[in-house]
Amino acid sequence: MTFLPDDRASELRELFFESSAEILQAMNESGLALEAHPGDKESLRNVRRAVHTLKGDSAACGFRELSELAHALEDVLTPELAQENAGLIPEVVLTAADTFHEMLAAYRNHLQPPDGKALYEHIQHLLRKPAALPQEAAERARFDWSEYERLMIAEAFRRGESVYYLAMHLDPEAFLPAAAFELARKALESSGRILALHPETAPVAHVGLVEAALASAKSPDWIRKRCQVPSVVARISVDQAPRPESTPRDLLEILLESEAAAVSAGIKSGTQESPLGSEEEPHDPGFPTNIPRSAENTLRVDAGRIEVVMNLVGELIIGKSMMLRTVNEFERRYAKDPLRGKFSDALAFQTRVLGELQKSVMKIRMVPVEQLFRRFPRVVRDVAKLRNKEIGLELAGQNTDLDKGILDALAEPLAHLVRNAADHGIESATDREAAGKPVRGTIRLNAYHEGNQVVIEVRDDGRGLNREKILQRAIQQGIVSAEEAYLLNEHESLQLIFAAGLSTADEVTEISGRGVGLDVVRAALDALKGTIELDSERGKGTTFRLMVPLTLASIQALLFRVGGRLYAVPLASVVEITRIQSHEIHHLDDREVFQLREQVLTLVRLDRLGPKEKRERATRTFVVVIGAGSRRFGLAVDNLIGEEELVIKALEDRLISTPMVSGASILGDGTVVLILNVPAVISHLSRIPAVGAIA
Amino acid sequence: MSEKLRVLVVDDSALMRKLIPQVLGHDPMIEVVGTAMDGAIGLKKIEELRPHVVTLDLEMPRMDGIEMLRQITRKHRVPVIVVSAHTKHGAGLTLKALALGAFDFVTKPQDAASGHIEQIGTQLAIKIKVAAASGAPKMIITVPSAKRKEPRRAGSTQWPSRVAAIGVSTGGPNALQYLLSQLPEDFPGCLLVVQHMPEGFTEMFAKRLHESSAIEVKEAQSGDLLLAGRALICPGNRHMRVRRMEHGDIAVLVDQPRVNGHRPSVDVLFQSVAQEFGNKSLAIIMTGMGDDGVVGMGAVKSAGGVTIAQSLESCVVDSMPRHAMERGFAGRVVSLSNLANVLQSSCAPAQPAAEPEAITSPADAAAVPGVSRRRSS
Repeated sequence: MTFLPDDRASELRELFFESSAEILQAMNESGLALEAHPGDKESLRNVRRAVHTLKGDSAACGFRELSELAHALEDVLTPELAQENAGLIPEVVLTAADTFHEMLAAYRNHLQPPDGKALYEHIQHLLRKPAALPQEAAERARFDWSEYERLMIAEAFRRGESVYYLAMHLDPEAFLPAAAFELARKALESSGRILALHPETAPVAHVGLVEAALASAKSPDWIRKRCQVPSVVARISVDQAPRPESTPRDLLEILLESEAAAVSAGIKSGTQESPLGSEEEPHDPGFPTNIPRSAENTLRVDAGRIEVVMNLVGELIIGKSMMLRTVNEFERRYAKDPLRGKFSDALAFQTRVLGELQKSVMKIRMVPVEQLFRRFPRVVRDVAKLRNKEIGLELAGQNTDLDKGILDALAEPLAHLVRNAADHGIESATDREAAGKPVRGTIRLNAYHEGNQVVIEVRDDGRGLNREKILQRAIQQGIVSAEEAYLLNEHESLQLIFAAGLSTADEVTEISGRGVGLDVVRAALDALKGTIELDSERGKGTTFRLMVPLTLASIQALLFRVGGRLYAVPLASVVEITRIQSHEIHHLDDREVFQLREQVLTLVRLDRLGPKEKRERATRTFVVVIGAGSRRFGLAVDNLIGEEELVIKALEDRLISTPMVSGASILGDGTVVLILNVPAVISHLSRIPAVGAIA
Repeated sequence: MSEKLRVLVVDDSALMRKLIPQVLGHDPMIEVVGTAMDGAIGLKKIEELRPHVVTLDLEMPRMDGIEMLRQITRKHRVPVIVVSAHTKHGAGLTLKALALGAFDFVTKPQDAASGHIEQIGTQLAIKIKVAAASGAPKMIITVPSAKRKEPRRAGSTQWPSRVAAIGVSTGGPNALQYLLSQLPEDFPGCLLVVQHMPEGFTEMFAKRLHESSAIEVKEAQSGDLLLAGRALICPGNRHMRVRRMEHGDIAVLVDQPRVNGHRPSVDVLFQSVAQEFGNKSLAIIMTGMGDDGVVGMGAVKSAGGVTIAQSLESCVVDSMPRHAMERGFAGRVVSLSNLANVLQSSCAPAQPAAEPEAITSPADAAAVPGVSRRRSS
């Protein structure tokens, strides 16, 4: 590297990888759009532009293979070729996106990139040339003479000489290429008059093929024997040269005409029916074409830098609550002091600005889920094609914002769910027809805010889950006992599908595999402090609902005390706060329950999480009713402390042995508060019906 | 110049928007004042930042480079250097951009790991400086889109009365297009053209010229015959020589190293013409940066051939003809609008013209007898 210092170069590389991911996305989208509307000019332009940029960028970064491939592709994506091959283009574009993706991955890992052979074949096909490898093509004699050589040949014919075309394949094992060439030429010279010779002079590198035009009075066999120099010429062909029908008067005119004829003949003979794209019917992937493009004034910032700012804002919030306490203390002590008002004014101002600051920083990290959804039309299309199904994908709520980190972490699980839905959820066309459903299946992705959470739904109108089968498998594999299984209601039993190692697909498929799957999805959601649940109705379809926190950074929380310990729950999950008398608490199946209006709710006592100690139960208990999704429960608390904004500090796994706590925070006075993981508590309640088993 | 040259980079590739300023940042005379990711933003930034020179990618979303260029030439008069892709399509667009008034172009870097990027950076920096000094092209040569009236005849079957070698660089595409379109179908001479242009671009370029000219224009291949009414354009990254053969004269392409930093080099062609044709040789040096071809002009002159330089005021960049004049190698100085006439008369078979008197000032060019001075619009 002579010019750019290493760190700059690697910075450029990073930028390249990042921007090329966007380019590939654009290619995928345009490819799908072209499949839906073959020959769409705007989409084709987009593809070409994307390929073009990728080519230029990869060349600048020294990724030669990628650049060359993109170059080759760009050259065939002309409006004319695309118009002629409208049916083929989408496949080419999508193959290209895949190939480029693989190559980029290889570059990123400093590996040798794949050769992109499939794509080259596509390109060759578009050019209507046989997909011959370059070196093979070079080995075939073309007798592509220059104008002057053609003049020489025509002259020889005019004089009545016999003209032969010779193709001499030199032995690749021959000692010195230059010497071998000279020997071949000597042989030619001794057999007649050389009218044309390719190559003209001795090559530096090995030359496989020597082409010659020879005027000779000898017979072809004689020439063949003469020129078959042992251990130099491996193969030889001697053919009568095609005679230009020349009248001596306008020799050149004829020559140039025959050239034109040769060109048009070449075009005709290369024409053949395309084997691709004829059997498949383009389908509409339900891809919305009017997604707003990203704003013009964008700034690329390393996510780590934003992380730092986030953390500092977090510290500031802790600082603010320290200040708040101090001011409160001050107000109590010096109630008459005029400074008091100034203090609280200043604090109120600071609080407001801090709030704005925090919101702004959060917004930086927020990106629309569209970024995630954009990948799925391609996923669905591929599965549909492979399985020979018709599947439409509907997207909704693309503009819902979500923290970038969460979004990225959701990509894989969500892709898995979508693939599953397309592969296993949606039935084959014949099955659907038999069931009286429209042949075309539909997968619907939706995202929306629900309190401090974002909900992402994957819904299909396929065959639905077989509850009995799930239960049977779960019992077989010892995930639940038969007794436990008996107690599970419909909804609860369906959730068993998230348990490790459970798969109900009868058929192992290339796309979805078997066994691994939903437990991985579940684990990913757990890591994000999110939850997943599903609803399914046989024959009607399945809906997965992923719920993740809007952001991982801070929450509005309700603080309360149980058994001397300070806890918090996200305010968003608090449905209401009520008080119940001890006689209102009933026992049902080992659970403590109470009635709230028409609903019977389980009562959870957090002090069972800690060491068991006998304490007097108060006659009146505060109950915080907590809900997540459709599930509710009551939380018995000793004291309510109030609301506070908590900055979540991640807890290391070894510090905390229960999933019931999702994190911790530090209050202004330095107290540590544990934040309850509501979804985990709920799923715990659903899985294990005994009341004492929370810990 | 005390003030730095203010440059605006317009490119839709984020990578290029970073790379180009980085590469240009090494030149103390140049300051990249802004970047834009498409034409619409680019135009806004031209208003805002008032750059001296704009580097422009042609293939962009929303408003593309060609459209932006149209607007720039209409409104802003800022010289534009096209940063072009190395493809057929890119070549076509680039030539179109040049026809629309882009000052010059460079091709996008091919490999950051090689020295190539350094070379392009230097090239770009030089072109920016020359562009800033020359300003936007004063006149945009509009060639009447004289589409061929009838399918071409198969090609000339005549040996030429004379072979003329032309060397041209920056500003060349438009100047050549203008010149060749002025020549009639029965032009008796054969033109050999070295235009500084990368590989791949020359093929497109020859096609474009062929479309707009009555004479046959083709990218030269080794062994092509020198025929009357034909212009052979030397392909990029090769040199062109002439060779006299038993049955006629031919063009030969060779791969020897760069000469004056160029391949093709004008000097290589001119020297070969001087050597093969002696006092029958004719060399024309036209608009361009640097001094490639100047030595060759000297060779043609001392072989007794005719040397012509394009008049300075009709050049986009006049340094090639100026150097030839300064060294006394220019036998005649002819304005672009007159060049076709002079070529016609020099190649007229009846009078194998060889005018010995040296006319070195542009004003004298108008006084050449039998040649009327015309202005292009």
